[in-house]
Amino acid sequence: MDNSVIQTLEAAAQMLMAPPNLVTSVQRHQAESVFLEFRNSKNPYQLCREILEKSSSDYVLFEAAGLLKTALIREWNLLTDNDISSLREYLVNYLLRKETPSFLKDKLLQTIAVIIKRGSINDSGRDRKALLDELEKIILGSPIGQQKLACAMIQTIMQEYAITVKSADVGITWEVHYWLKKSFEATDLKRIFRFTVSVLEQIVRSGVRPEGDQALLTKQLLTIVETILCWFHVSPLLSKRLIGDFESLYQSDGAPALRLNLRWKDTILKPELIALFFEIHVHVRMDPELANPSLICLVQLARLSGIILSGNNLKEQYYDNYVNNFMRMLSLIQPFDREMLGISDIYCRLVQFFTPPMIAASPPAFLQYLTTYTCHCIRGSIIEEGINDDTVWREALNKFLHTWSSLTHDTDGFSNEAFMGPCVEIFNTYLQCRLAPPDGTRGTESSDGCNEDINDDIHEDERQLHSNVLMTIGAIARKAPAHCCHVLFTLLTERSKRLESQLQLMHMGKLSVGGGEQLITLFEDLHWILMITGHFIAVDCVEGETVMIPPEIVQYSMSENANVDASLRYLVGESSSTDNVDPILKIMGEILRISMYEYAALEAGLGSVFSPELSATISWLLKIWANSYLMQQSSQYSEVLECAFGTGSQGSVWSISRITRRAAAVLRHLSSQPVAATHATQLLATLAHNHRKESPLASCEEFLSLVAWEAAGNNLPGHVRRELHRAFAIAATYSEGEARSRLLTSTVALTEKLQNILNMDSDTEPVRNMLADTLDCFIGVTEGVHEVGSVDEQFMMLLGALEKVPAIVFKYHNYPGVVLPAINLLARSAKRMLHSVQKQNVNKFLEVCNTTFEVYMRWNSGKITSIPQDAEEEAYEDICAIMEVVGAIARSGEGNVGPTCARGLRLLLPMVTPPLLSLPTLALHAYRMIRDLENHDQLTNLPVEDFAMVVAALRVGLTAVSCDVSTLCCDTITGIANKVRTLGSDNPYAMSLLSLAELLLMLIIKMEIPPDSIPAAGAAIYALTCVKPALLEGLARQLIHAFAANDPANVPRLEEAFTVLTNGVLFDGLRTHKIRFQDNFDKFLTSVRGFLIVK
Amino acid sequence: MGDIEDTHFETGDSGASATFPMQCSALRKNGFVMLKGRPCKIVEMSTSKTGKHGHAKVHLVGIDIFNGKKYEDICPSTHNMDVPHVKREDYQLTDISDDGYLTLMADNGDLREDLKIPDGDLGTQLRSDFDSGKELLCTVLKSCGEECVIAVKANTALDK
Repeated sequence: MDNSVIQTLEAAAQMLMAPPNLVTSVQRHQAESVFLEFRNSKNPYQLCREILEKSSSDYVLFEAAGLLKTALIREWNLLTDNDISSLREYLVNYLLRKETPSFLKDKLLQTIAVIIKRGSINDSGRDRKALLDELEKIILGSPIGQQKLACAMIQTIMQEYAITVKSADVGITWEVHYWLKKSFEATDLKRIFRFTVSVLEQIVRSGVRPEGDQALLTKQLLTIVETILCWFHVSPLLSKRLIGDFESLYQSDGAPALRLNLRWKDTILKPELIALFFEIHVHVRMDPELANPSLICLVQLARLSGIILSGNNLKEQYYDNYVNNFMRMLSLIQPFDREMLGISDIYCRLVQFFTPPMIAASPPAFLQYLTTYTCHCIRGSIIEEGINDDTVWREALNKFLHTWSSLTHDTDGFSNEAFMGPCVEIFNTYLQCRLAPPDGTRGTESSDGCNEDINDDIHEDERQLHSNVLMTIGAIARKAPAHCCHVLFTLLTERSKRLESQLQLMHMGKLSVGGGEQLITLFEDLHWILMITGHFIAVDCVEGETVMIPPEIVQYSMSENANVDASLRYLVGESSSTDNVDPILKIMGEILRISMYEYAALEAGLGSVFSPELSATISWLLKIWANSYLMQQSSQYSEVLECAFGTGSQGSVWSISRITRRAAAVLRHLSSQPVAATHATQLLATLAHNHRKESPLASCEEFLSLVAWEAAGNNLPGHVRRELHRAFAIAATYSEGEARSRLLTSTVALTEKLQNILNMDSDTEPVRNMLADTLDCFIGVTEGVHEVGSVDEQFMMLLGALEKVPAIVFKYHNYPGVVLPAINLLARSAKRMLHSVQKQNVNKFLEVCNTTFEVYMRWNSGKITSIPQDAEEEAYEDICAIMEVVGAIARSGEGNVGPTCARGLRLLLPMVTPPLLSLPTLALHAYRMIRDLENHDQLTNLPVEDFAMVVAALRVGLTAVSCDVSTLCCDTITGIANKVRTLGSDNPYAMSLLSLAELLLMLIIKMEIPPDSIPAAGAAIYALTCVKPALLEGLARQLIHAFAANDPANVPRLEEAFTVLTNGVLFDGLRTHKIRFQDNFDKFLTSVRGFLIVK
Repeated sequence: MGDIEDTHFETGDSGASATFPMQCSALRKNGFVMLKGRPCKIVEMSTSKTGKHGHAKVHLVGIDIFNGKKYEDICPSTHNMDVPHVKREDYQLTDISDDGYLTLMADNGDLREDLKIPDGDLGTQLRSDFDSGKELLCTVLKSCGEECVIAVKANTALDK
């Protein structure tokens, strides 16, 4: 072979890599085209060998290695066995004899792996076995450089076999990938494992700590073992889609459990093996690079499961052996901080994979170490919070807490006595870390975050942020209720006294307003004590879900057997003696007192001093408490708790009135503080939800005066008022008769207000603001109305407002700030209520929608506005809202929704031009609506010209870059095709739809459709072909014809691919054939892409 | 003519104030607010606080409703901000003068000739639509003494 080709390539490479001032762009383009042509070279193997031997240009070497691989895949079927095996031998030798840079080495290794994998289709792994034999010899007796290379080769081969669904495109279908993986698992995986472990054993036995090259080799060996222990053993029972999901999950996040079959029994169940792995870790742990894979191996061994452990106490024996070795290791070493994550993971896995009785039979050291390390991680993670964004400690702590939450939850595990000591220790540690000195250590080692600026958009809500950790701390604390009750009560009493005196001093002017550091420290202490107390006495939950009082609390309250009268008197503050008072009521009494100090402070004008964060925490605590404790069934209470909080009890009436009064004060004085206002409205909504027989709020005077206050008008921010009206509506749905009418006055007042605004002559900005706010409040009402059989009554009240929407859209057509909430109100009502109201009411609603659409169209169709680029998405929010209305109406499927949907669609389709559809949010709304309409048979009822517009929109959507949109389009096409199939292919709807087929097929073949939409696209092609069975054949002929002109060599392969596609498939729309087509479709794509696409 | 009209805004809206106060926390996204002395549409609103137990401050980002420039401001949520009175009125376009001024007719038949063709695509579209003989309806945005055409629509069935 002449050297001129190499010289040309090297010159071009030089040109490409040269700095921009030395070459012109024309020269660069020429150089690029040299390589583009090079990448398409046919039969380039000899040339590539020459390059590898002779060239010294890195870029040319890299390109040659890349070309080798793609050419091999492309031309595999044209090559003889001899060609391939000589190439493989050449490459192995080349790597062994030459020192190659890693970019080249990796590429060549991958090429070898591809040869091995594809070759094993025909030789059932003979070549692979031979290569592995060779590699093992090298590892046992060659120079270290070659040993490392051999390990790298094993790693690359394993990698090539590991993934089946999304594997690098090597021109074989998924089934073949899958079959190859299974055969690799059966023949060679265990062999590699045993061999590698034996090499590692030698390293440990040598007693020499690996350093330098030896350490690198050890790391490679460990990584091989780690990969095998993390291997995803595919179950033949799973579908391809599931396997694909698992495999991608496995790549992104953690390994699957170690499920092995019986073939592994002799290897993995040998007791020495576990001991060896712990020895390996002790041997290599000084080096973090090595400690990491060795810990992962230990974690994987802690989660051995499956058939291999069934029968004859095998599981117990394995667990005992593992735990004994684990404990021995912990007694020998002082773990580094960086080992905490691995150790916590081992604990977590053991508890997850072995039964509670086995765990409980562990040696005492098991719980001791667990406690010590948990406390250690608590301290570490809280210091970490204040220092940086790392989450190493927090991750380790989460795993430990996960372990604890399983342990404390299991009834057949450790006894309560065994837990007592550890639980007290963990509880105390956590509390201390959260409290300021002298009680605790907060802020001594890192910032406590009290002085940093907090952006509400970025920072998660405090109570949400810590809820996972606190929930487990609460569960741990409930294992030692006496201790924790006592500590929490003492802290609450002391801090509440301090709060009272500080606020009092401030009120009297004896303490400067602002209070300084001291007050902030007090707020922060209380914030944490209340959060911990909350998670101790109750379980956090989402709104509307009722959670029982934790059984440990009820039991503890029963066992204390306190005096009912004394307890109640303490709760309401009539007595300050704690003698014979129920411990839970003591705590609750103190919390209510703190909330009353807040109330008093707010009423006394200290709203600018009180912490909104603390106010939010108080509301949150009262919320989760009310949810579990107020008016439950009596079987859930102890006697004292029932007398205090049971249905009809005086304590409950008293508490609700106090809580509501305080929440109202928060809304009056802290409404400008989003966190405080949000939690106060959430508290009210939770109280409103509490509906044993009747909402307790219905008879609560404080609540009714809140309703009256809101009706009279105030300056609450719009979103707070919306939430408040939501709470009113919830309370109203859960009450009856007189009480209900009193609550409904809030909606009546709102309707009157709306009417008044519309009657006003002046059309000014404040009036429009008021109007928008009022419409928002109606949205709150809509969201609060629940389906308890009374929807119609409230719907009729809402209808009063809804009927005004067309007039509002007409009058304020120039003001999107008003139009948007008006249309949003329609959308929400359609979504929340339409499916459960009576038919005549549905028709009224549809009437409103029809008129609104007309008015909107009248003012907006053909309108051109000047919209700044960065405000585009927002400018079309009203169009999105109309789409939601149409979609929700279609989904409700109530009454005669067809004409209204058609009207809405006729309004929207001319407006959503292709440029608008390129806006992601708008496109998603539009295609979701179209899909909803299709799902409810609305599209094929459209006039044919409107249907054509839908098809045009689908045409735009198919080419969208977003996977969501193109999947929605494909699903819609499939749906419509299934419907029009019965109409015949010359039907105008069918003809219009079929015009999409060519585009769709081209997009698929050219890979211009997002990969995740491919299955949906395949289904669409099938459905379209069912409409017109000759379709696919016609398209195929067209495509082949086009190819014959440019690339005649590939025509036979293309023809063959199309034969595969239709092989054995009937286009009758039946499930069997649909599935068969999907399988064929995969094969078709694999083969077509192999030769059509040369990137 | 331009000069005479320019002095008009001093007494615009019969002397009524061009703005009114509103509590910062009650402002809405997509609403209006004065930022750095300019009437703006609020495109972004977020809250933050100094320290965990501090009180909220509202961070506002607005776009000048006339020239599209972006402004930002930060203000305690309990304080008041100025909100501009904003008015949008529809006029029929009856003519375009050679120097680019529009002749607009209000609902009551009053004519005005003090507004120029807007800049950018909107202006180009307006002129070509007018030249092709379409009847056009122009939406004029007015605030703080400034006015400009912000939207155009073919006047098809709008015989009021």
